[in-house]
Parts: sequence; C-alpha cells; structure tokens
Amino acid sequence: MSTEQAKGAADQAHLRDLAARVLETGFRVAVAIMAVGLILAVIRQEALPSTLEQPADIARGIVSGDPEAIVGLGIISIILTPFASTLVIAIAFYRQGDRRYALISGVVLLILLVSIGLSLI
Amino acid sequence: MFAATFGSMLGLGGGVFLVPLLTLFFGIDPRIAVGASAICVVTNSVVGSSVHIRSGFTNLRLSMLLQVTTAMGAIVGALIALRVDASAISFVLGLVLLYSAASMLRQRRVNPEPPPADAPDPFGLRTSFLDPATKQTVTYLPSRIKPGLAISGGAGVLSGMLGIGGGAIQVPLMNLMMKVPVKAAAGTSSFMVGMTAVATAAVFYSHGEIDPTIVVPAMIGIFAGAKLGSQITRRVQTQRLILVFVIVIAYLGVSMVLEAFDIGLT
Repeated sequence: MSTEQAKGAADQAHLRDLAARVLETGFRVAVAIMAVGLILAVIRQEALPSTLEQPADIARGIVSGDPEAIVGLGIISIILTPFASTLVIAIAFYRQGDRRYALISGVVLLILLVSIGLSLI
Repeated sequence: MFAATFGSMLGLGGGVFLVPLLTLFFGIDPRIAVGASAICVVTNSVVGSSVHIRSGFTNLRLSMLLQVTTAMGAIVGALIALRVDASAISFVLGLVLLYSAASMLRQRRVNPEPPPADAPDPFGLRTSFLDPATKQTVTYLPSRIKPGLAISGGAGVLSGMLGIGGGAIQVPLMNLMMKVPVKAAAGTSSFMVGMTAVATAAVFYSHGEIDPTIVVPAMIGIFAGAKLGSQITRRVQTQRLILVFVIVIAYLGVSMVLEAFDIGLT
C-alpha cells in the first residue's frame, strides 16, 4: 500500500469514527434527557402532553424543571443529531484537505435547511 | 421494534412498517402516525447508522453525493405534490419497486466483481469493508455515478410527493445500477434516510402533530430494534439479506399499486 493510499484509509477510518461518535453521543444525550423528563413526570404524577411544545415553551419549561419540556428537549435532540453529524463530517472533510466533499456536505446541510425553511412557511 | 429491526437491517428507515402498525393496530390518527413515524425514522437512522458506519458498511462520500440530488428532489416533490394526482405517483412507484424486486431476485448479486486497481475513480468513492459473515474484505467502486445522481434525484421527488424516506428506491439503485454491495447499500441508505426524515419531522413538529405519548414509547422500541437490525445486517449472509429485501420491497410495491386503486392490502 502506497503512502497516499495509507493516508486515505486512515482518513476514512477517522471520518467513520467521528461520524459514529456524533451519532452515538446524540442518541445517548437524547435518551438521558428523556429519561430525566420521564422520571420527573412519574415522581410528580404528571401525564405527558399530546402535543410536542414549541421551542420557546420548551426553553421556558426547562428553566422551571417542567417534565414535559425536558422530554420535548430529548425528542428535539434526536431530530438535530443527523444535522450535527453532517456538520461534523463536512468539517472533517475540510480538515483532511478534501475540499470537494467538504463543499458537497455543506451543500447537503444548506439544502436541508432550505427544505425545513420552506416547510415552515 | 419490529419496524426498526427491518428498517435498520435493510436501510429503509422503518416508517413504511410503522405507519400501518400505528393506524391499524392502535387506531391512531394517520397524520399523528406519520409524524411519529418521521421521528422514529430519524431515531432508527441515528442508532442503526452508528453501527453500520463502525462496520464500514456506510460509504459516507457516496451518501453525501447522492443526498445532494435526493434532498433537492424531495423539495421539488413536496412543492409539486399538490398539483399531481397522488394515486398515479403511487402506481408508478409501486411498479418501480416491483421491477427492482424482480431485478434483485434475478441477479442476486452477492458482491460485485472487485474493481481493477487502476480503474478510474473520479469521485473518490472506492472503499472496502470486512464482511463479518464471510470474514472477507469486500472492495468496491460505485459506477454510473451521473445516472445514479439523476435517478437519486427522481427518488427524492417521489419521496417528497409521497412523504416516504426513499430507502426502498435507494438500496436497489445503489445495488443494481451502481454496483454497490447490498450491505454497503443498506448501510449508506440507512444514514441517508435520517437526513431526509429530519425535514419531514420538522414539518409535523411545526404543525403541532408530534404526540409525545406515542413518540416516546415508539422510540423505546426503536432503540432496541435498530441495534438488533444493524447487528443482523453484519452477521447475516448477503444472499439471505437480498431475499428479505426482495420480499419487503415486493410487498411495498404491491401495496403501492393497490393503494393507487384505493385497495388496502393490510
């Protein structure tokens, strides 16, 4: 294996490790937040709401330790995880000197943001 | 858990199984079921892809490349959804899935021939992974990138119009046309459907149609099922994985064709 091929393989392995770690961390954080919310709901004997609160209400609820808001934050955390992984992958490509795939990953992020923006109109 | 196991195993996401389960067996309103399904597809992708990526099944460059046209197609599909007869689209997609099932069954390409060392790789997509089922390293070079990008865009349009993740189209596309081994196609698709489902989840969230009393218990099942599904992909023989995939997409294809004529299969 040439030096260039060895570097390519090492870069790929590093990228996979980073992407997997972001996904695993996002998953663990979301589960931990939801578990705290559910335990609080059980202790306070409060039922979960039938609608996920909007971000501003969740932020206010977290400050006051509201279980509904904490569970909501857990759900939003998992939704944001693929975004975070794509962002980290884009940065990793850039740092590895792979500007083409850094740009492509950046375009994917941009398109996702546009699609979400359009859907909210 | 059932939906997540199959979804993660085959790179589909799992929404196609979850929505009928929630509506038919639990009597949940279809809109709430689709909203819950979108969150569960994201969760399934997050949990399942982490295993697929560590296994080396996910080709991250290929996923980013295809996601560009898929995501753009999904926007176009969502914008024109209201102007086109949905039953016609269901019918076309159903036929595409049935054709894909028949082609995969006929070819049953366990793994494509390894590419020559000097084969041109203009997109830098050549990679390899260790298949734990055979303990052999599989090297592949995705081919027909430009037609693949175009069809992936078409898959995105159908996804946007029908509100599906697109994995049922992406996996046969990668395997049959781009010569990506089926385990790598499933791993790559599993990562892609999560990104596509984020946009769908955002729509339902903004319309207040995410119900935590349904989402939270479903997510607990997803956590277990997604891990199990991706572990099965690692260990199962590729021939069996293809057979399961063919059965599932043939079922989906028949469902879509019948749905076009307002006939429910389940």
